[in-house]
Amino acid sequence: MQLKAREISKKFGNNLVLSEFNCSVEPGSCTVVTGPNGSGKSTLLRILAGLTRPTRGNVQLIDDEGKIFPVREARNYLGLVSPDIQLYGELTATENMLVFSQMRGEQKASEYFLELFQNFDLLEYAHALVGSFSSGMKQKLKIIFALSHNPFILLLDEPTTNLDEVGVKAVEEVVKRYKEENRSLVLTTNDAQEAQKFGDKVIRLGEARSGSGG
Amino acid sequence: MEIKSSGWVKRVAALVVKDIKSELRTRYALNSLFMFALVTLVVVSFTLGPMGAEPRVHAVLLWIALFFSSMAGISRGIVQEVEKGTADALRLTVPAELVYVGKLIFNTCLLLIVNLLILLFYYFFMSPTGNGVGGVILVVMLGTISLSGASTLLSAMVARASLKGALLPVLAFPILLPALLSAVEVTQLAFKGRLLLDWGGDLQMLVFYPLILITASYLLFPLVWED
Amino acid sequence: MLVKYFLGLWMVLVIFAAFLYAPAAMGLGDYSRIIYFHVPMAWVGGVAYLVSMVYAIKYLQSENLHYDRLAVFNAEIGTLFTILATITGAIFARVTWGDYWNWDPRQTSIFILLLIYGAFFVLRSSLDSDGDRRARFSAVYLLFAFIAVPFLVFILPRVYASLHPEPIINVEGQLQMNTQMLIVLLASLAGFSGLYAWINQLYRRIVRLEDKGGEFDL
Repeated sequence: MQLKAREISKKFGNNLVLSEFNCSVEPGSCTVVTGPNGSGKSTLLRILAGLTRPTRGNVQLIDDEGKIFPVREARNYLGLVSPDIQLYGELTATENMLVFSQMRGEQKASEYFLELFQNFDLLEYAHALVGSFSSGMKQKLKIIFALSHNPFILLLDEPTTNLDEVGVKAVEEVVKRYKEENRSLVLTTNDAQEAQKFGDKVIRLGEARSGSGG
Repeated sequence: MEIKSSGWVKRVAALVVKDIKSELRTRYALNSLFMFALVTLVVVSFTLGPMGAEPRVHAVLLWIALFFSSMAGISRGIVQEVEKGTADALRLTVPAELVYVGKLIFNTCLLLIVNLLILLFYYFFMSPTGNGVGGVILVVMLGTISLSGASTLLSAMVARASLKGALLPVLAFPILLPALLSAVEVTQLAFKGRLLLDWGGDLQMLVFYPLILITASYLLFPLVWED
Repeated sequence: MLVKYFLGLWMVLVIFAAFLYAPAAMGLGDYSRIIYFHVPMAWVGGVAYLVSMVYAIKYLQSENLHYDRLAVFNAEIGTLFTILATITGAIFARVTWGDYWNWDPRQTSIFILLLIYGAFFVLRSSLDSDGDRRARFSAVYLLFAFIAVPFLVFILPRVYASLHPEPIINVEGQLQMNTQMLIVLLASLAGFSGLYAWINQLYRRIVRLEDKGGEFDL
């Protein structure tokens, strides 16, 4: 499944954050988007995920048979990890995963998520309320949330923020697995080393035009 | 459209059940609404004093209490999702239409519980005369559906604005006025026990107006929910 | 260009006719003359709302903020005329029925229109930061609030007895007015509508000039 961003421009008020951005994410690849703070990386990922509507342009997913889906009809094929996303603090980690899964119309049992918890070393907190999690634990859970429906395309906005060694390693495993399974990833980072490590293709967004956004 | 007709019921149900679970765990809405309603009723009862009042006056006072409590209660739903930041996770999981249906159902259930409780307390504090309790309950339930039908959409707008709590009644009142006027009329009749005898335009209004509100909300909701 | 002179002349004629040509109504006497102003003002207040709604829909379709500006402007005009209609109506109420306000169904309708306009502006001011979102939400509110309008304008007065003088063109389509009065009323309606259209046109010219790059100092 291919993700295509076509002529994406985004303006917040008078502030042009993205201008005629184009890219095509092929199966089996990891595209890294870098750039200074405020260059629009987070906004771009939100647009790719269908959360934010671009001022101009559109995002499409094209499956193997050539059928085209506008991004807002393709929720199940995309996963997003982002600092904006929060999960329900008054529910446990498992309950959170279950409820989102049920909202997608899936019928997974809680055992399904235990493996994911295991990979990120969260197993002992599976039945703890998310409100009590540290920021690193929440970050891990957000990644699990994005992975839980096995999306074809994973969008990761600064995924290693707040993560300990185990977490970073788990993210690397995910990237490796995705490439092996011929799925794709888009990842943003400020860290040049990370960019080299993960990315087959690196896109650099321009200088920030103002201090906000990014 | 990605909604398969058979799957959506389960998906909406999951959302509603989640809301109920959250509410039971934190009890924000029930607690604060309960206190709000209590305070309102005490003030009203106090000022009215030992004098009785006509059914019409009771109808008006009751609906004032119900309207403002409902406005306070609606903020538990969508506004909370936006404030706490969980709205994005929802948007990634469920299409806007399903979010609307789920929130509408939850808001309606919550308001029904709260409003019937208020009615109970109203009887306790104010002792309105008349033997039409069944009718009054029916009218309160119908009116509540209008209240939640209008406010669910509006709460999505208010969630992104400043002054959320104060803004909602301002936006909701003009739209709800036809329903409120009818509700007061019919409640007054119900207090006298004459509800079924005098089935007229007002009761029909209370049944059909919410349907229109809900349909329009369903169509307009994606515009205010999605970015 | 000539239109405004024509309009001005027309309105002057209307004013004269309202006081001199049209006969005093039976019972109400000279007080009835207020309808030549009150009714058209209420009419423009309502039409302005519809025009705002049209621009709101256009904005939603195109996401061009130009339409948002037009919608807001028409809402402003509508508010002004509605306030005038409410005031003239209240004056009439005071001298004929004794009180400025009695919650007569038609008074209620116009008051609701005022509340809708008010809510519209409050909504906008609380969304100051984001032009697109503000425009979108305003448009949605305008459309949603419109649901209440038919109920208040048509259904309520029919269901409840009204203190208002018998509606001139009611659902059965009967005209119940003295011909002379009717002429003046229709003329006034036309005049006020022309006024409204003219104000709109002026505004569009201002917008065009502003967009060409001037600050416009009136």
